[in-house]
Amino acid sequence: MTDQHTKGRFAFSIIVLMAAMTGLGMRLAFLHLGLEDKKREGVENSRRLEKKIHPGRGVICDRKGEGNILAINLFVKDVCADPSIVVKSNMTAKVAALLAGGLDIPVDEVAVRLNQPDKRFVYVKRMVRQEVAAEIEKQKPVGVFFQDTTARQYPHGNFMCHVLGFVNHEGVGGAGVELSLDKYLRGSPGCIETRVDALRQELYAQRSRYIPALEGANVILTLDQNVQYIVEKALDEVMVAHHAKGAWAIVEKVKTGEILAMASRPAYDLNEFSGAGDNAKLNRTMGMVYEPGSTFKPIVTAAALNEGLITPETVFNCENGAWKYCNRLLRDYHPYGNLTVADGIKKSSNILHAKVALLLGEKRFYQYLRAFGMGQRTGLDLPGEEVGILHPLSKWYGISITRIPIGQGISTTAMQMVNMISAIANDGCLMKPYIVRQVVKSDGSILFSNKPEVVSHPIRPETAAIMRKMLLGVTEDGGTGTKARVEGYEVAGKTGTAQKQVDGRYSSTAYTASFLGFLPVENPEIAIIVVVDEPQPVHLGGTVAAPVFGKIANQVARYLDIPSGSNSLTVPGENVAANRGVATAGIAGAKEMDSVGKGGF
Amino acid sequence: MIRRNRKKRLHGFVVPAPYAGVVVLGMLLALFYVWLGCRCDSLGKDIKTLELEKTELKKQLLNEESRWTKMKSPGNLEMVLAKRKIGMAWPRQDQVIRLHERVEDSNVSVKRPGNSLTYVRRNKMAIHD
Repeated sequence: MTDQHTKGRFAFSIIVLMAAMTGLGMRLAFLHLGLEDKKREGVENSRRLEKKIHPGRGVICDRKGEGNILAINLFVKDVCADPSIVVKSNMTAKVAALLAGGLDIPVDEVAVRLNQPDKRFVYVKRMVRQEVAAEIEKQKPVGVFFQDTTARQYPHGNFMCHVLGFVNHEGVGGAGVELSLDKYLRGSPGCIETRVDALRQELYAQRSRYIPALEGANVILTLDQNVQYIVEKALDEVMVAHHAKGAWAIVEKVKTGEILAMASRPAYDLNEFSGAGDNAKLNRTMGMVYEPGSTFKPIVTAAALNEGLITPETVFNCENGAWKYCNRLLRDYHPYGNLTVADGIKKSSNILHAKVALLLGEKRFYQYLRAFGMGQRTGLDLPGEEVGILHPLSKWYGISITRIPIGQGISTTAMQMVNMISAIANDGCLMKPYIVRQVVKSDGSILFSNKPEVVSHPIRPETAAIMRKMLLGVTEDGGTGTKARVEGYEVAGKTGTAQKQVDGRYSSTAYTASFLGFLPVENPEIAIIVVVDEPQPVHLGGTVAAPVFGKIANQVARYLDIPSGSNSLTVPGENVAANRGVATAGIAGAKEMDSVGKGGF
Repeated sequence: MIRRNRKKRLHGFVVPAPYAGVVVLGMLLALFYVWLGCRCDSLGKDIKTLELEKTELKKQLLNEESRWTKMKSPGNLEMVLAKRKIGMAWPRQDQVIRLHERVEDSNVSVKRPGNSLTYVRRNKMAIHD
């Protein structure tokens, strides 16, 4: 071989190589440039993956933080099926039986869903727990597949249901804290743009955009799950014992306005919220107004004391139980002659309080009602709070001044009432109640924090101190609320038995029984309200609601380790509500002296 | 017959050194590029696997948290206590032994986290009834 040959071969190979490269280049150019836009787009799309990353919804915890989770987002699966495949395989019955067994739904129902040969997609059951889905997946049923999704889970079912609320299937808060703090809990979705291989596996190196989802913030409530449990259990018991239509209660820290427990009955399971009726979903503590009856009396007494018009020793003539004003009769439950103001509140005389209100005058009385927060929302951070009904002075009737002081002709929420009694317990400082303590991001930074806030000072501290002493009389011997006593503590409070309005008239069979109070009297820590709607057959606040108060207060005081504030005040024997069932404590041997206004409008 | 000039043949056409160098360098670069690509893919797969694992662990953690929360709820605890026939009631104030910050003559000692041993005293006697 000569140099000529070698050169020739080299040149030839170079030419062949160049030709091959040119061919490849042209093909490449054709593929990239020559394709129709539609086809190129199709190829591109088949390789591109754009996915929205759903953020996890924040958890809701009680005041102890993340140790006590009340609502959490769980990864679950939707069980889906392709009925056309199932029908073609002639295994409809077998697949239906398998799914029905695993998912706890009737076989017939599953069979009907699967037996649709012209359909390509049906949900067999949504939001199934991972373990359950895995069990079914193991058996590889024909035409069945699973979709990953997340679901809001409430581990305690109906516990705190009215406070927590629920999240609908679109992931949006529908009630309670879930609704009011939805913007914090929801988080912000992220996105991912990437390319995939022929097996639809992501090519990580070709990930062009990745914005991680911003997890929802966690909400820490002021509620204590142990206090809440005590309250809910007591309400469940009173509902059964007194065949009540409803019952609700609130426990509030008087010095800060923090709500420790808020419960309403009937309740509903948060995990099955769609099946619950509006009646069960109603948070009666703040979403339902009622005539407070005698529990309203402390306002007029406090107002008159604050104005210096009366003292606890001022004597009023109680007209032997029947008194006419503006040609309308007002009665006391028991007839009394002369009573001091202190005795009047202890025995809950309607006539005495009506006379005190007359002494005060409409204008001043109205100002005090407003100062105590009546006819206004308390500003609690939950949706659906009612304002209550307090007519402006111009709409008052002639006898309004004698009926409003005894809790008739005015409607309030339990939240307003407990806030009012808290103000008396808290040296006359009306606090803004709150239920959300903090909103904390997943990295621990605090987004929002609630602090105690003073709304107004309706009465002076000295007046509040006198009121506390007078309200203590209600639970002492001869008072209407002896069943609210708590062993080792001095309890102040007020019973209430209000006739309900039915068809525009006061009913003689439907009552609202309530008890409102705080403890310990010397240095009040907690205020509690208990309201029982239409208890039967006993309907008196001192017999129905006071024992529930006593039961709750007894356990809560011990749980919170509240100092008694006095030297080992132990109330002997019979009337102590401590550690006793509501049913037995309430009915037997009731010595109720609570007054019921018979006047009416 | 003409005898081949071996020497000349030996020194026949030789690819120029710089050209060969460029080709070899190109090849090396190409190989490095391919290796780097493979490495990236492999790391990408690892990252994907870890991402999936993290998601799985997160799912498990949430499930376990949910179960744990259920287990230690007051209702469940009460049920378990009742099942085991353990009757419990809240203590009265006089049944609680309070440990206060130390006073010299105390006879009880406790170890507080992060502190050295601190002496405390109890201010009430235990009453068992």
